[in-house]
Amino acid sequence: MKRVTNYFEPLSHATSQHVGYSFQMTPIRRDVTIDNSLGLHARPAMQFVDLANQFRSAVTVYKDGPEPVTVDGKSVMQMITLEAVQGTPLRIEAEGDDAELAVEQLAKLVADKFGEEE
Amino acid sequence: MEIIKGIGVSPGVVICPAIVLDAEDLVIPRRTIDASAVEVEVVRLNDAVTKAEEELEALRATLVASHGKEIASIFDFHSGLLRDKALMKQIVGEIRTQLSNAEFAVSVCMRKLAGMFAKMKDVYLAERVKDVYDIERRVLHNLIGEKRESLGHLKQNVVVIAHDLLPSQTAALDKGRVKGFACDVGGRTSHTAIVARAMGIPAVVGLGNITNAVSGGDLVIIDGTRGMVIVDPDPDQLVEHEEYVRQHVRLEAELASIAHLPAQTIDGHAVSLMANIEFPGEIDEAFARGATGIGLYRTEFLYMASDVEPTEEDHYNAYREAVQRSQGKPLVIRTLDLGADKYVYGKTQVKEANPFLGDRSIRMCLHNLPMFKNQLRAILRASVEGDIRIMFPMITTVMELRQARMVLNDVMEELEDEGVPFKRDLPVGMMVEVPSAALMANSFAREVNFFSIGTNDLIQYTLAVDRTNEKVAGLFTPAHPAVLMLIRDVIRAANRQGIGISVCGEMAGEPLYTLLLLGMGLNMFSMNGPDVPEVKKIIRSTTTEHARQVARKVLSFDSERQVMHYLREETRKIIPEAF
Repeated sequence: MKRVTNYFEPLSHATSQHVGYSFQMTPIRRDVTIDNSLGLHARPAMQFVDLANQFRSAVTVYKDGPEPVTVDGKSVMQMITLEAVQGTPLRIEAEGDDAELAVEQLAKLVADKFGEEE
Repeated sequence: MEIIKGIGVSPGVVICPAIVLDAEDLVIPRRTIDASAVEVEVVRLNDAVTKAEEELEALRATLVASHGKEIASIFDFHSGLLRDKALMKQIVGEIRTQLSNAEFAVSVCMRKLAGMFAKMKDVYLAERVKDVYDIERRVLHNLIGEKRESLGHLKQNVVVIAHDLLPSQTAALDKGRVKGFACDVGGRTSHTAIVARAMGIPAVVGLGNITNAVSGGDLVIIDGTRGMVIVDPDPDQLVEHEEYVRQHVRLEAELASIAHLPAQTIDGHAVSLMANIEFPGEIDEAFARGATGIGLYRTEFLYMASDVEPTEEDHYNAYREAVQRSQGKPLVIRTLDLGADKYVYGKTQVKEANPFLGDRSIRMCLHNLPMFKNQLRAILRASVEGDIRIMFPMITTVMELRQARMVLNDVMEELEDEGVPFKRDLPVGMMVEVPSAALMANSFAREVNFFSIGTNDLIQYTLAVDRTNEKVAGLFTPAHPAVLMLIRDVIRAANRQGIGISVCGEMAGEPLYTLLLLGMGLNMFSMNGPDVPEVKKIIRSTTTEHARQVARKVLSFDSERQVMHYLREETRKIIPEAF
């Protein structure tokens, strides 16, 4: 297993919006690293988005760096603009009743290098 | 009337109405709509997008059926964008807040997206800008209500005018109706040129701005032989070219009549005329033209059609189809020859200062063994179904050849261990396309079963000329005596050692050089399918002795101009209408 460096500060805004609900849902987060050789190009991005769209939860993806980017994990257009080449650390966050499962499966897709062959 | 000069990349003349592809420059007028009309525009947008999705799905289905799923997967990303809610939200937002008409909203948002893609550092992603344009066009055409010219089902014969033809566009063409191509950009080795030659229709590229000069429906003459396009011709020109077309048709008919006669000289010396192909689907057409085998199956398309590396099964399916279509006739499969002039596949994005002298072709394969082995395994597995021969490109040193053969042996052992059947004695050959290999042909001849001379690269490396650079392209010619001497020596070395020898570069399909090559002792020519009949006609009209005399005389010249002048004269005696 490759150790994933945590580049991210804790995100405070994500929970604050929901204070006041009786069943406050905490977003589920997972830090991953794009490991497949081609990076997040069209086909992997499509795979990610197709999977994300199978869940009810909102899916958000963050990229840190000099210009941090936050995108909708259900939009292929936005995912592509991450320009996540091999080695890019990303944070996947989901919020909703199936958030746990969503994050788990999306992280697995990334870890499995989108099924790309070695 | 307007005459535009370009580069003729596929011969012949055609007069037809035009359809113009590529609407990147479509100017969409901004119309401010009434606030009450917003919902109507949103509905129009949704309808247009839904329809675009259906069109893509249909196109995809036909492509899967005709070309397999790799090519069809080109459209996955297109569908993905259409289904993208964030993108649609942007467009709807543009309609609602700016009170724009749907066309304008689509255009604004897609241009913005295209701009973002174009700026990306990753070369592969920046290339996706074409997909964005493609989607924009598709949705706009549906909105404007103008029937999108469906290239798959044309009602009349047309010529296609485009900025540059994309593989996805040519794959969808109605091959029976498209009679010619004319493009703004491109060169002799561009995709358009290769497809046009394979289809046997005229094509002119490098025309600059033909897409602006022609509107859909204009009558256009495409003269691929002389490299020009006439838009909206005068009556005189029409008459002149119609006569030209008739002549050409007569010649074609005459050539077709000899398609199934053997390629042998008057004194009974037989040679093989083979075809060069890119897709297994071209094999039937090549055989119909009289080819007696496939002398060069380029496998690069397998790598270029998809974003990811083809799997062993992808390779195997293609080779199996090819070998079955070949019906026991020879099928020479060239291993991956990517790099430099061709599309650089995802992985290698390290910029090389001199790509033509860099990590390409067999060099790249030997640096990417798993990828190379996938291809070799697939070729070997398919070998049990016919006469498959394997050929390594761009061999420069003996060690390289030995390494490639070693990898091949490893793969054979693996297959044997797994109990997978293959033909152990399949012939192994190499391309002679680097001067070092040509000069050492005697040594190489002891280690392979056949040579194939790739004249395009051999000329480029011998004369130090990049023929895509128009300032020096004039220096590129097979007629240079240095090139001819190398070719003569390679043929001689092969014949002395008793191994197979062919020429598979463009020179083999140019009637101008047929007598010369024949006279040098060449007995296998591999060319684009449509060139076979003309070359055959020359061979059937001469004798070995005459060809030898021509070769001797040519090799005594010391300038390419003398060589060409003399060859033109000699050839004209046989096919007067050829030049």
